Amino acid sequence: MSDYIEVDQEMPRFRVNRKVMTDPAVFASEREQIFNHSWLYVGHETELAKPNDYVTRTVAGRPLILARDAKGKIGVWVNSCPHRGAMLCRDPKGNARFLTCFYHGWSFNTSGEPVSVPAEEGYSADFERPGLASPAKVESYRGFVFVSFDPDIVDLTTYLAGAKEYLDLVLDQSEVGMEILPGTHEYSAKANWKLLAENSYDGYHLLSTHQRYLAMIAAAHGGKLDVPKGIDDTRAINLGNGHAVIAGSPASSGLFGRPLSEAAKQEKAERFQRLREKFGDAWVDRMGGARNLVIFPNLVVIDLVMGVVVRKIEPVAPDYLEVSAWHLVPPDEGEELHKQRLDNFLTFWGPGGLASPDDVEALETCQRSYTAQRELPWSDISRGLHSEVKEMGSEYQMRTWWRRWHELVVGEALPEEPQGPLPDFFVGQRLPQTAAATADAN
Amino acid sequence: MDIAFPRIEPAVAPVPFTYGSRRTLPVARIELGGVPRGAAIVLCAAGALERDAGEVMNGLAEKGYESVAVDLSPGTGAVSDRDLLGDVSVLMGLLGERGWSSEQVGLVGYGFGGRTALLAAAEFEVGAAVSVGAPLIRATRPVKTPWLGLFGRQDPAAPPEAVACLRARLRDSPVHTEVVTYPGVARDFRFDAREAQAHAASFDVWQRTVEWLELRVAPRLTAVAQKWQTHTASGAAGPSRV
Ligand code: FES
Ligand SMILES: [Fe+2]
Repeated sequence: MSDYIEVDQEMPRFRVNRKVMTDPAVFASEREQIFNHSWLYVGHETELAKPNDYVTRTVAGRPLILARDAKGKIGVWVNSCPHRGAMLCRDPKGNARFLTCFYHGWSFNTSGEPVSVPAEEGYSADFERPGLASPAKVESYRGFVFVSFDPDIVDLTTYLAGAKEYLDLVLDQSEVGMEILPGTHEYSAKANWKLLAENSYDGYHLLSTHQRYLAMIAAAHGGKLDVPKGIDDTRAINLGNGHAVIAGSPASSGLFGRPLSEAAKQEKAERFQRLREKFGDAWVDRMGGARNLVIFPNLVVIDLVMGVVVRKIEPVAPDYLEVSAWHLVPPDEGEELHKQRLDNFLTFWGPGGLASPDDVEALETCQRSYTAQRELPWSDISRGLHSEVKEMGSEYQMRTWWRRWHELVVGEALPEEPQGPLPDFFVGQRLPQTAAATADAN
Repeated sequence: MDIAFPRIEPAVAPVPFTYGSRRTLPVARIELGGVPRGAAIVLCAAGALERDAGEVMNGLAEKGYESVAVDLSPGTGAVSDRDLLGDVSVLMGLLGERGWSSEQVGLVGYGFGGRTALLAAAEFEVGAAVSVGAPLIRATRPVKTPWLGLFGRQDPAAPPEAVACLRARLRDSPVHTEVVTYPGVARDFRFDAREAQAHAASFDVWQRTVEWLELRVAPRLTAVAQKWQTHTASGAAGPSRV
């Protein structure tokens, strides 16, 4: 055990020292031990529709360019000129076959190769012209592009472990391949990045923090919220390598979003019927339950089935984080269903919506209060520790995350926590597919 | 465009268009010394070769582009779209004689010439194409060359619905396209700089035109750069790509 996490197996109790939220030394060792040795999400292939499209991103503090080259191949480059460092792309997105540095004018193509150098007589004929630098590893899983700065890391699929199955549950919801909509929600919070990772699958705070959102939904449904039967039958599940999910029962997704017309309900039912034929009932039943997935360390996918947000958390300082969030949609859906998604993206998840600002407020007050850590050094994350049934209001998912954090930052494994067998609903499998059926368009 | 560069008087000479429209038309040329950045074909608006070519070609020369300019409008005769495409390939041939490959060529067209530039972008793969105030073509095909369309919203030949339709149609193209429209101006807005909106539009049009070429027209490699290609330490190989 360390100064950072204290586990009492008897009581039982699991506590995290608030120092980890404020200490610059902890922040520095997270950068090194976690962010230099994990697979980190950069962006989605569908954000780059045409050859030479690019987007710029910050990943673990590094400015990166995610680009589709002239031949259509996806690559990731460090957004820094190999000459003396000026940023090559200063726009969040664009299309360019040649990236020209505005400082001295060196240019490169979207495959990272050097193209031209002004007044080149100033160099010897044997001068080796540098191309663009890139992260040690780039891999993608069904359109989700990740990088790793660790050349020796395991391959992405191995790293994703059980999280892969939950990405599949999201990505199988379109018959033509899920797509990221153009545009990014960007916001920040004066809070440690780990607080948002915890919050992103905190099933315990929904009713208390998000009253405002739930009241709006209730009003849209004529004043009363029909809480679907079986909504409590949910689970927090350890997916390995620090990843975890809270997965809802089939009823859970019915709680969210404004009401639909009969025609849209019908369309949705038909869409799901077609998916049943393709993937089987067990899989599509599971698909119909909401899920909040955190892929360690900082990628969040929240799928309420009627809306999916992909959220990347960027630690900036011990008490400051930045969020980029995108909307993942099935492009083969009709207008009303699409509208319901857009509405939820804005009213629930949007930085000015009826839910995210409440989360941000909660996290910022946590962070402000950590100045009193001498008087109050510990945060409690024990919920559900005493039981083998990990329902989603437990804090098992967070403890899973923290165990991995501890292993990487402190170099020591904490005692595991037994989880009882999952009800059948949570383990249903997809019918075997031909490779083509699950290979997405890009 | 009027900073302290010496103005180059384009050389104008008749050129027989041996295929395409098979006319003999005056073609203006500016050739540059050293290793120019790239080459451009300027397709003038109807009757505007004398009025506009020198200005546009000098603007391009300042950015390092050699150019040829021509007015392909039919005058009193008739010229088919097929003929026009043939005419464009004659012009590419002229640039080819100067050693320019198609990816090193940009097309810039105005009015009638803008329409031709859009036709050509659907037919040929060149570095980049820009159309300024082109009368819209019905059922435009997807383009093969990255194409930028710049339209005045008051242009009766390019009404907003038609522009929206074009935009949607071009989305299926395998290459990047962009359409920009300017409020309060019609077609020939490049040349009326006294009115504020026209001034702003003509400034923006030129800026975007040059940038569109800069980002896409392949540069001609110098002898040193060619030698350097064998000494390139490229980050491009290996794990950097999916
Ligand atoms: S820093 Fe990019 S060319 Fe000098
Ligand atoms: Fe929340």
